[in-house]
Amino acid sequence: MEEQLKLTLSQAIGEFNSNRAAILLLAHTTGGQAAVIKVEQEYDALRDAYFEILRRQLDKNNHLYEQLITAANSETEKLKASINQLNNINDITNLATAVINLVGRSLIVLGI
Amino acid sequence: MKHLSKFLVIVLLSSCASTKIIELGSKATIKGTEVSEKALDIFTLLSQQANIDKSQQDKIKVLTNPDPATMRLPDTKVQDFSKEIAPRVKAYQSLLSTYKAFTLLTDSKYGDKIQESVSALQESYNLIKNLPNLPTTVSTKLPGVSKIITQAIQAKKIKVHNQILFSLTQLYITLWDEDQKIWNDYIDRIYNDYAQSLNSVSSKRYNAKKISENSNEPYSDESTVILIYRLDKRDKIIKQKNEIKNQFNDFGKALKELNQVHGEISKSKTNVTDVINMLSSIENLLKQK
Repeated sequence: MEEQLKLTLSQAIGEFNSNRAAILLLAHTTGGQAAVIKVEQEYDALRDAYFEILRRQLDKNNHLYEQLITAANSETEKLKASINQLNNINDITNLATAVINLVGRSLIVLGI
Repeated sequence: MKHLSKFLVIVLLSSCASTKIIELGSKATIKGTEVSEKALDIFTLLSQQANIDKSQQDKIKVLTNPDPATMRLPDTKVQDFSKEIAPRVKAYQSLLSTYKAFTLLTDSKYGDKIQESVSALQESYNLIKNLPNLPTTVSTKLPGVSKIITQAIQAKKIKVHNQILFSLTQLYITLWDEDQKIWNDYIDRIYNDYAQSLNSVSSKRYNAKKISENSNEPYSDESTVILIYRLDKRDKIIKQKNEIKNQFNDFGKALKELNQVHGEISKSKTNVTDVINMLSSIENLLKQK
């Protein structure tokens, strides 16, 4: 239904485009600048309707993009956790080094 | 001794595989960042189209008005798509942040850092006189083995995260494929309306002399000069339209290749050649053409 309406609007807009100057000339001959404005407003309304359908089609997926943002942020958090785990291996080794240095100093101080 | 040799061969092979996975992971994350940035560029391009359309429609109103001397200055309504573009931009900004975090995971520093730390640990241990020194075989091998173990852990994590990124990019592809058709219609509407309406403008509105001054075309007949100019103008508009749509296509293809890269890296036996070829394909797709 929506696609059909889009197609119909597109055909109408295309027809107007191709004969635009001739249509406006005819409008001007019969009703002057006011008639030209009126015809142009009709044309703009057709385009508005077409763009509105596009917006609605895009809006249908908006909530899915919200979910996508949540999924991507969750993966970023998981990645940060993995990075922390890798850093922890290093931290533990550094801590062990610090402990051994402390033991060494204690042994010297105690003269064992 | 025989068992020790076997163990060392296994450790060595495992080390090579881990290094390769870390390297491929690092390259994949660079491409992931580039694909996300390309998406953001595309949405910037799309957000500019509303004003381009307004400007084109205003121009057409002047050119097709039968009596421009008496017409009001046109002011066509801007077709605002910012509400539609905003959530998409946010989604690709989140993907970009994910790849920035992934860059840290694929950093080769972890193995080197642990090697340095274990060497420092050994040194501290050996400095304590009252404790027996570590055997030379242990002292020489321990830092290297620690590096290999860390790299293996890192490589395993890279594989796991590639599996998640595979699923995540799959969702981005599904949504992009649905959106792309609509964005194509949007671009077609803007540029076709302009080109078709320009075709309907009367030739009387054009100044053949002025066109000839700025042209290298060898025509003298005024009608021909005007028609050739109008053909060029039409072709330029269509080319501009197709360039935008080609960018959409190439981005979609790059996203699909990236997804396959993640899928391949996440496998227990990664086909390195396939990954390298896909990474190269992404590079070509993202190049400005």
